[in-house]
Amino acid sequence: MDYKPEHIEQFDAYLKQAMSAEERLAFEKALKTDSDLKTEFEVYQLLVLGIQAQERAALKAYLGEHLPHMPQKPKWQVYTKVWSIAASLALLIGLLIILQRAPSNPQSIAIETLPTPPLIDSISTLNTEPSQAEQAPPQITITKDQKTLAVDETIDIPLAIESNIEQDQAGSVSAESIDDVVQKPLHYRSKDWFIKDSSLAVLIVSTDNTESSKSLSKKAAAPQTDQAKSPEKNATNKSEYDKVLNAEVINFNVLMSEDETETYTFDYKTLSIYQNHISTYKLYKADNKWYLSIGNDVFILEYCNTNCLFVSLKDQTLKQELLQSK
Amino acid sequence: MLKKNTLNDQQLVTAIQNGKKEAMIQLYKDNYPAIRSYILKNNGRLEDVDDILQDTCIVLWEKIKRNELELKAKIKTIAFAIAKNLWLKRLNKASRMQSISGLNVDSEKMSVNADNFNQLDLKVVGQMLDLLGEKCKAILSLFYYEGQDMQSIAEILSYNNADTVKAKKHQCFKQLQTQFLSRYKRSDF
Repeated sequence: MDYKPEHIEQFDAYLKQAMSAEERLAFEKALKTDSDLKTEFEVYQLLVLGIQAQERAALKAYLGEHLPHMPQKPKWQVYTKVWSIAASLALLIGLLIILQRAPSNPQSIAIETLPTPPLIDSISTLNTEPSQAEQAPPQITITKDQKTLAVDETIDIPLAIESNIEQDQAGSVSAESIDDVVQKPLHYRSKDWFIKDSSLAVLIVSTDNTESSKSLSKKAAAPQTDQAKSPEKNATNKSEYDKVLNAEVINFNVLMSEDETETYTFDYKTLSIYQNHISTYKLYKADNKWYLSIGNDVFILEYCNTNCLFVSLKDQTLKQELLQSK
Repeated sequence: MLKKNTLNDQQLVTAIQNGKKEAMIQLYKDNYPAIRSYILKNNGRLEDVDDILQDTCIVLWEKIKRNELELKAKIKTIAFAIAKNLWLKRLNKASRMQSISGLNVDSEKMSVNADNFNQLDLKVVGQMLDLLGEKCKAILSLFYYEGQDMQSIAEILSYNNADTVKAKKHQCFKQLQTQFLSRYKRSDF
């Protein structure tokens, strides 16, 4: 097979998303019609993946070599002990060397002590780890059957982040639609949906789990407390989450009626919302609150964790205004 | 008492950008408690913790290397989000997805994607890379793994200019391609 140099450059440009929209389209079209080019591109992709896999394997090997294994608990304690003994010995030897050299050349102390601190540090970290785990931030558990929703406070995700949308400073009900974002296609494979992201591999859009929707419905009965809390939370965390969430996908439930919830997925990167088929819904921000419109229905964001809850908007006037502003 | 030798977030990022693998160890240890407790509370076992944590460190490493990470959040927060994602993905494993991607092949109409390649082929590529020589390996890794541009690669590897790197990179890739194709026939694809 003849491999043309210009093809590699073309592939590189495609891979690095350095093509213009027209070039990209033309290239994709060519891939469909030109089977040689397609094969060439497949080989190219495999080689690139191979290069990446090799690097990852090297990193993993490094980690494997330099970390004491951390599996079962009893083992863990044994390791810790062995490590402390080894470390004490190393420290002792180190000190002996230093002490021996010290009289002849005082400067060597400074040099010799350098290698020891990391060693000491690694041990102290190791020793404290099990207890640190116990001191980990408490789980927010609201009801017993809400296990799947119990989340470390570190991942309590406020939805009302600014992202790329300019905030509506006027505070009026002029909703902003997010039309100009590029939607990422959903892929379907073996019963699961996923979105491809450039940096974070494949993000699976998990299907709803009944447990969480149940607890969400319960939660909806007393939403006031959450609503009251969220503004200040947003204020403090906004910038902090702004970036992290660019590559995140979250699932949320929409309370359609009394007991019926539907799961949707919100992609922070594209600000698009997906259900289990390829369709997009719109997210609006007005008056510092987030709204979601699906057809002629408007929902308001009640609260957001790893799962977000939207409930049907009761205020008909506001609803009409939002729908018309589309 | 000796001073604790831990890096702060900014120092960690710098260390990783400079390719200091020791930073990975700190990443691992710093994030162990939180991720361990999350995985154990979500149907995971202890051996999963190590696995997920290693992958998390690698994802972080890659993000930092590719300059995709701005320190607006604490690294621990980011690490937690990544670990959680990886874990949820693992739980949904029914789809038998490969964890390797990194390719920006977004259009669903493309029949080619990372999932179509098998791990064995990737290993073969890895072995062939080893045959290429250090310079070639470094260039290909910087370009295809870290996503560096030619100019930066020239600076990192002390080449005269970007054009030299470009030519060299082309040569290396070609070599890899040739080796690979000597083992596989066209009909294999």
